Amino acid sequence: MDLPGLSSAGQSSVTNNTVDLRPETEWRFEVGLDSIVTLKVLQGNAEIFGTELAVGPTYSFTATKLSMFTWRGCRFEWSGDPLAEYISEESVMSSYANLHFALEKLRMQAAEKDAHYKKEVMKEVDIGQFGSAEEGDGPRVLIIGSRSSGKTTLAKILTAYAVKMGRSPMVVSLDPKEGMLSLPGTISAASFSTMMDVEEEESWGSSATTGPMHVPPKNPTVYYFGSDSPTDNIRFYKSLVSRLSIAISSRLEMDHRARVSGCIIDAAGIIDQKVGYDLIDSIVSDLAVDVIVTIGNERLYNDLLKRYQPRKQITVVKVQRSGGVVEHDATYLRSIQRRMIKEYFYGPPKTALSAFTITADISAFTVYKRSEQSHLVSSSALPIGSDETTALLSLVTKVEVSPALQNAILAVLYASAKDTEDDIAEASVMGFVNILDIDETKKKVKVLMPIQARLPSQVLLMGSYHYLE
Amino acid sequence: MVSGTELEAIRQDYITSLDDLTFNSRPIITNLTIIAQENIQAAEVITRAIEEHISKCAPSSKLPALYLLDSICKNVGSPYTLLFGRNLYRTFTDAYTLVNDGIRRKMHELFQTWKQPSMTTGQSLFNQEPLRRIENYLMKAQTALIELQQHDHRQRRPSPVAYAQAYHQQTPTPPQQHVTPASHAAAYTHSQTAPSYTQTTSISETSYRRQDSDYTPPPVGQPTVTTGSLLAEISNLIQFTSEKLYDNPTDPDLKTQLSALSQLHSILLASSLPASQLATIKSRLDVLSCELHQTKKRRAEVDSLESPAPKRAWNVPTVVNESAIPVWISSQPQPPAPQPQAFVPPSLSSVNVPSIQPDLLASVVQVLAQPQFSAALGTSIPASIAPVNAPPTMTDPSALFASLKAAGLLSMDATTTAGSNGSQKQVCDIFSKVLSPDIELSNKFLQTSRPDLVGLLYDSLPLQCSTCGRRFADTERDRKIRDAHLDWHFRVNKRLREDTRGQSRSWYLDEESWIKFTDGDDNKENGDRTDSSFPSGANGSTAAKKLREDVSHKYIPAPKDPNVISTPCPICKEKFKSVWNEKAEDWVWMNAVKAENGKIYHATCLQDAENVTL
Repeated sequence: MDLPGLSSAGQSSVTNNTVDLRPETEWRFEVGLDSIVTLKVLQGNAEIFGTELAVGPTYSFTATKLSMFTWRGCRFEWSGDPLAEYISEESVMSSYANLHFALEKLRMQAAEKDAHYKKEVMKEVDIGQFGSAEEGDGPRVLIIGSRSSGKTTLAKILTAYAVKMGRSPMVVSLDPKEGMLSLPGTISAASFSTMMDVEEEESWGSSATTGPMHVPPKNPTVYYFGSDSPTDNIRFYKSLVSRLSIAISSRLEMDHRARVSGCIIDAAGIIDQKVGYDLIDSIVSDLAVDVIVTIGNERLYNDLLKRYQPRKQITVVKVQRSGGVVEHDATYLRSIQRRMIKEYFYGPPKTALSAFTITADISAFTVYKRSEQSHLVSSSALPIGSDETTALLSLVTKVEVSPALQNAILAVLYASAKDTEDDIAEASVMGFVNILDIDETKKKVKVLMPIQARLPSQVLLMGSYHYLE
Repeated sequence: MVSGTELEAIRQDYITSLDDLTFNSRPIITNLTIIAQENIQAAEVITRAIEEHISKCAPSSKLPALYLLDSICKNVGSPYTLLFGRNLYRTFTDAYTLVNDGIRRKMHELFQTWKQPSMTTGQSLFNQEPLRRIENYLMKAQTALIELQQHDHRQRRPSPVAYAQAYHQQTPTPPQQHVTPASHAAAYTHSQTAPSYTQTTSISETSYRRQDSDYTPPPVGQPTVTTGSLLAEISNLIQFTSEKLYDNPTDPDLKTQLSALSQLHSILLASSLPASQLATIKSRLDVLSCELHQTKKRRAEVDSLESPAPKRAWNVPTVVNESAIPVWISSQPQPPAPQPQAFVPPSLSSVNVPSIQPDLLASVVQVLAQPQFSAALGTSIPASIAPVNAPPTMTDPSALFASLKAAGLLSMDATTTAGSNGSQKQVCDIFSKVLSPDIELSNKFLQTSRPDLVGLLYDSLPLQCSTCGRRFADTERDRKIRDAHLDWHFRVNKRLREDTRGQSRSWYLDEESWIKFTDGDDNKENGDRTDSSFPSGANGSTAAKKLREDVSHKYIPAPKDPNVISTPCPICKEKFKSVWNEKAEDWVWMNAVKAENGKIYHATCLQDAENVTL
């Protein structure tokens, strides 16, 4: 009997399924860790989170939950063994696209104002007598919503559309559990001016390697927070966000193309009134946010509206949550994080990378970890003459290189062992290594390096992540 | 509502745009029509601006301005018909007195199309009153012209204003028979949605263009056939074919034809052909489009017979009906206004695009010239004939396909998707659309449905890279960027094939380098940005590339010790090769350095390893 739905899984992995997708619908699919789903657009336009797929080439996906949307309809074929796949008619894309165009309008107005941009990017010789003093800032958009509300998806769509229209938005990922272009536990920023890699969707594509890549790599600046949630150490998190913000503003001073394109900021999903709003406050002021987008949470929207709308320069708007957003349970999150770590060292399936093992003396390493979140003693308990700030412990503490570090992922910092702890606490990340083995008797450490080299910096920062193949 | 200042801004913008309308330019007219459509809330000021323009502009500019008036009234309809109707007599007659006989004749032809009652509404385009007065005026002023109109139908050529008429009326017979331009316009008056409007534009495009070659002398600045105009025409054909496919989803010929057309589109995009060949293709395409229009017209008639109620016969709306129809390309709104004269053939590197052999092109043309098509052109098909239901068999597209394949063109990079339109969308169009006052950062706007905006993400960027899907505008600047982009793909593929030594993750940039790093180079037209795949600290700047070259030119004298000779580079595990170096007058190992530890490395390998923090 050949009935639909009765075919075994084995069969479906070899047959090609051809599907016609009607306009403004999307095909949602989930791929497990060990399986691969391939996809080929035969006709029409299709996009994954705003990034258009080419007609013809085959794309392959593993360990991901995606949706492929079409504005005008498309025909595609897929094969493989997805955990789930279905077509959804419900889509919030229209309001997301409108949001993009509203932002694009602000970018155009900024570009119009920015004399440097006109001169350098548009190659306009005559920049007029209003000239050099004028600078235009594109919209700096902060996307806020609860965990699993589709913040990152919206950020990707807005980024992809902006790139498509020739912009180079500065994308800022402030959600440590996701790790854009980097590992989990980081916050980072990168200017996007080329297509995103839809096959590397979870990590927003790939950072640079020593060789050529099919999709242009992106170059992020990265700071290591070390665990999933900002609430693990609010003070350290805020300090890193401030540091990142300074780097971003300096970059935007220089790069007018990025400047008029503005920022797209993906916040962590912490929206409770006590800690969350305080975090939002500091992000808004650090990054000079002027547009706040809330996703699918009326109360959040109204709270923020009350808080920020009176300040005329901040606009608060709301959009719907997509029905396609999947709750990421802890197991799934861990598996995605493992995959990101693995691909940092060994590359995605289509571009294998080589990692290298080196052995070094224990003495060559200085390892720090984030200090415990200080629960402040009341100031009356402090010695006379010291106020709270000076009494605070420094943000990082040195740790002994001991077997406890086995399998740990350590961030290599742009810092020297002579630097003060305060400098080290806000140093940016050079890369990551994985401690494979610690031999205390021989005082030797075996380290997995992403690249064949000596360890270029001795200062390493430890987080809560471990990796064992 | 629209504030006074906004109205004033729209008025000023429109007046400025009107200044460009100094010759009969379809793109400009289409653009201005679209602006009028989009700013319908400012209809009054726009109407006034056009009326003032007509009365003030130089006599030679009056006709184009009247064509604009006509285009707006026929495509947008109310309230413009009412507003223009109020002063129509003055607008028309004032202009008439100032122009020469040639233009007067064309104005007369224009006026004739206004009088035609619409089949659906039974009304003429404007109120009877001004039309009657104009007619009286014309009769008094120019009896000869009326005689011309009454007796000399055969000499009438499709007038530029009668684009709608040309659309219905492929043969040079008078328009009075069945479907009139007015009814065409009226049909659109009933359809208020933007996409269907753009559809209208795309339909009229062809006819406007057709007249380009019919008119003598041709309008200023518009060469008879350019690659650009051909591309636009092919795009229209692609759309028509798609629509036919919509009716006959299973017809394999249509599908293949569609691919053939897109292939032809690609060829034209990727190469520059002599004018004579363009002209040949053009004439074949004309036949084809003629035939297609005929079919469409029949379909329209069938539709109007079936349902007497006002119906958008060939407007494929964005959301098509529920039945599963496999091809959706037909529902794409087409971008208006190709601008043929600005077309510059791209200069692709020879590696990416094989040069087109003349015989291949000949075969393309030949295929398009098959008897079925010639028949359509050769016979003037009476419009009143009962609809022929069977779709005319398309030519044998497989031949074209095969020839394309043989020439290796099918793998060509420049292939665009079937639905994309090669027309040149002016950048300012995007600007005016996005900057229009109704787009704003507000919850209300976010919740409105604006399918027309999606066109800016697709149709405004008609060129697409077939490898990664990246889109480019059809402008000279973007073509250069596209070429650089294709070159980049080529280089990357080549390096991925040849580079066997594998690669590793680079370190991230340090704060200072990151701040100074700009990765916008791809748009600086030298394609350097994408070379950030260079290992040297992932910095794609020219300086880094230069440094890299310097490094790879390092060499050491080839060692004599056999043990050393057989030792590979410790990093990439590849052996070194001895080459004769003229300068050193010795055998050397190129791209090699001796490190402090005495081992010999490839200079580039060592740099990769050490210099990762560059």
